[in-house]
Amino acid sequence: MHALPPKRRSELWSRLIPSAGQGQLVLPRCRDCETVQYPLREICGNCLGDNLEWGPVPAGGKLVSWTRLHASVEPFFREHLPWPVGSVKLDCGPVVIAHLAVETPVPGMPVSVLPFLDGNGAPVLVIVPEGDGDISGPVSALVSDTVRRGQGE
Amino acid sequence: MPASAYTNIAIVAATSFGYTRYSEHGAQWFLGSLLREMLKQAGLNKTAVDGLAVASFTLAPDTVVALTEYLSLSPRWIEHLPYGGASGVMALQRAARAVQNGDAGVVACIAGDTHRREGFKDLIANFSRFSADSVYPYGAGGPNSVFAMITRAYMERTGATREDFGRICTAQRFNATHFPGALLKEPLSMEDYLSARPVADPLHLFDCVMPCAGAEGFLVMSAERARSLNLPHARILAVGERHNAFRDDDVATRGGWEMYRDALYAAAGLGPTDIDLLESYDDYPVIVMLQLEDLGFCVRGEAPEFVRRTALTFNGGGLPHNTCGGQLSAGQAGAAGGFLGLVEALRQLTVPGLQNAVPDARTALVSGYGMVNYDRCLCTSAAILARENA
Repeated sequence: MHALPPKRRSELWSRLIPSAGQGQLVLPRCRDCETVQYPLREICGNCLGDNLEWGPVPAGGKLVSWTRLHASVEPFFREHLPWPVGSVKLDCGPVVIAHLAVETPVPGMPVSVLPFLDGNGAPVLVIVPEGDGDISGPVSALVSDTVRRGQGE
Repeated sequence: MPASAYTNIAIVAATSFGYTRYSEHGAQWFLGSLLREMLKQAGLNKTAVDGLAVASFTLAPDTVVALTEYLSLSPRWIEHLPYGGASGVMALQRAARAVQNGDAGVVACIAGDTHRREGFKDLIANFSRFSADSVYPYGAGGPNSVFAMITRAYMERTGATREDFGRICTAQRFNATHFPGALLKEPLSMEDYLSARPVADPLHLFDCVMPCAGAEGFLVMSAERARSLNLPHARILAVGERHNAFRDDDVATRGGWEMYRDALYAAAGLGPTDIDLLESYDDYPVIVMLQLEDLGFCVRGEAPEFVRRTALTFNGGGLPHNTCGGQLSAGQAGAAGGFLGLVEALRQLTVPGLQNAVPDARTALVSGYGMVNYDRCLCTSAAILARENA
């Protein structure tokens, strides 16, 4: 039996599940100061208000940096090494670390960050080429079942 | 208003204990054994210790107060420092103030961790809420993934090459061959460094610390007390810390050191060229480069050029750096990694006849960097120390 990706997240992450695979990035934004929150928080990291609203935010940004992992402590990733990971400065503010589904990554290139469900039913963020919701390369092993299921519905 | 001076404070009994790759002992065994060795060195009874500052990851679920019962201590001042790589200088700062203010007379500052075979996975899977949610699920590479991205961004910005990082790592390995306590003492050539297996591009094996078990500590007391005990000691000229600095940088290109470097040197009455040895935090060589820049040894972006022209070995006549091999060669014993550079600086300033002695070492700069909460470490600390009579 093949290993599954790690599932554990804090409870806030369940809010990302409805938008997974829909081609849209949904994150909490502060109603008072407009700050988009990531990593996920219950309190605005800018103004300390708790008036956060989940909703669509622009998914575009610039690739800041990336790596290919040749070692992992999780069996799922060990079966799929080297595993590509990147960080993106979103145009709407936060820096997001995510799976990297961009064939030839170059720091500074425009990309999008979109949520998907992985093969273990957990929400994950994936960096895809700008204006492209398709996932190619190693990351397709993580989300392929979900994508297929989504197309069948 | 500048912080008041750390007058009349002595640091003694700098001790490293028990470095080993894996251990079945608990953190309490490492911390207790370390304290025993420190007290032996100082000629003190356990009852003299009325302050206790502890850094440890694997002590959990126990806290410092649980350790007081385990070791039958009854301190009137305790401090827990869950700040990893910055914890050594932070423990020193708090202990020094406690002694200055009369809240404690002798403070034992100790750090130690055990390391079990599956222990590393538990540590990185549960390191922080942000990392458990937003880093671990993305490849479960631990800090390697974040620091690989910091390293790539640094290389893009400055033109640093793998050889530049290799200069830091091979010099530290040379230093480790003259330090009996180091776990990695095989000579490391530049060819060995460059041909090592990749861990997380552009990081390769010798860019990464080896997790291990071990402990590091020292005692803080008044200078009068140290003299009455006839103990060689080091003094504190300046301390600084800053946490979660430069949050708006898209990727870590500097640390909080830059914010207090000028105040640090001003308080010490010294500049970077007056520093006889530097013990920087070397979780990855790129972070050494950031410290060289932020602490004023070279200007921003020029650390690669600095390491090309400066010998970093203990006896090379340049800038003696991480003179016991640092964590990259001595091993990273959990939170003790945040004490290792400080303890080595104290040895250099107080212990005669070291195999890796920096000739005529009178002043040392120690800097710390700790807690990769999301995409960088949050804690920075630095201290300038001097030999008793320097």
